[in-house]
Amino acid sequence: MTLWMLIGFAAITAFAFRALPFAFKNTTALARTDGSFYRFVSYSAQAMLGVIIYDTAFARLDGPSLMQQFQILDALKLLLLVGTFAVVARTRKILPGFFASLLIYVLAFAYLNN
Amino acid sequence: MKGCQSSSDSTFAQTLKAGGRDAITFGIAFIFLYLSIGMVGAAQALTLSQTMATTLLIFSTPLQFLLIQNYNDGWLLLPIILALNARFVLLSATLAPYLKQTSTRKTLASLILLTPSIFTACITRFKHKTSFPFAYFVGVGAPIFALSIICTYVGFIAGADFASPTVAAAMTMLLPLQFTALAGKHWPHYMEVSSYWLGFIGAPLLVLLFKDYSLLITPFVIGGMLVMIENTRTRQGTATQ
Repeated sequence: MTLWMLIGFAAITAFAFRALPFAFKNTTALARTDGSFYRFVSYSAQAMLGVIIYDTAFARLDGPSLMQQFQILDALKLLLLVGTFAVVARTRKILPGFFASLLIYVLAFAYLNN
Repeated sequence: MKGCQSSSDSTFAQTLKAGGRDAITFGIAFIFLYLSIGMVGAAQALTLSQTMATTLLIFSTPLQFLLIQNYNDGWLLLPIILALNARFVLLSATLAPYLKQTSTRKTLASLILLTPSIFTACITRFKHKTSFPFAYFVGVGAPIFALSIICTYVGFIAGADFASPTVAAAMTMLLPLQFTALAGKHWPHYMEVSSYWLGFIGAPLLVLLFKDYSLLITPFVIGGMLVMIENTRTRQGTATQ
């Protein structure tokens, strides 16, 4: 399978999945934002972001493997993620917390791998 | 002051402009993400048109990294592509009620803009301001999309000049920090925030149970569980009153 075919498949399915719910935008289940179905979809969307973040930051390691291979940099990652969340929640500003955490992580990585 | 506020949100153009302003906050990480996508594309020997096509046609950071770094796996990637794209159903379904007045043609033309960051920007605003939702969606999304296209190009041209282990390490934390900062914007909507962190905490545990399908199943388990808890609490609250 060529890369162009993979790009085509990914593009078509991304568009289809993005478009599909709009076909049902007037149904009661989606229109009532305080209804159980809408809340289920909304919470699941947030949970999916949480799963993606864990998978990206910790290379999809399962719990026992993470505990076995746990390093100081992993502890820093956890600390920075929680810290970024707390700073944004408190200040309502994304950029200061984001950049400070990124800078701390890069400096720590450079120091530990020097 | 309140009068000024309501009049500033009263037209399509002004809402578009407000979206553009928020694009700076919500889109800053895209500079680094898409520079890195361009760089990785060059490093993996993709052509410029192939690398650009991933941004122009897909515009999904995790999926683009997957394709660029693992395209030799061929058809084995298909289920993973489907799983990664399935999350768009959730984002679209959450956003759909706010855009139901928008014509289908406009909606379809702008769908490429739907990413978790742009979604979060919209939901954060729509919870307290619902005027001209489509203008805001395009106002936030279009500059971020344009910036990402430019950064992909620049990253590809700069190529390996920027590549180093430290840059690679920074890239792995960009997305997590960006999404976590976006989750912070949901505060104090406790259920949304809880969903995010339960997804994060549940991922290393539920992957033991659901294996390769974890990304598809775990979010729904958490979403379902939280709705059940919320509904039970509401019923108990009603019963005690």
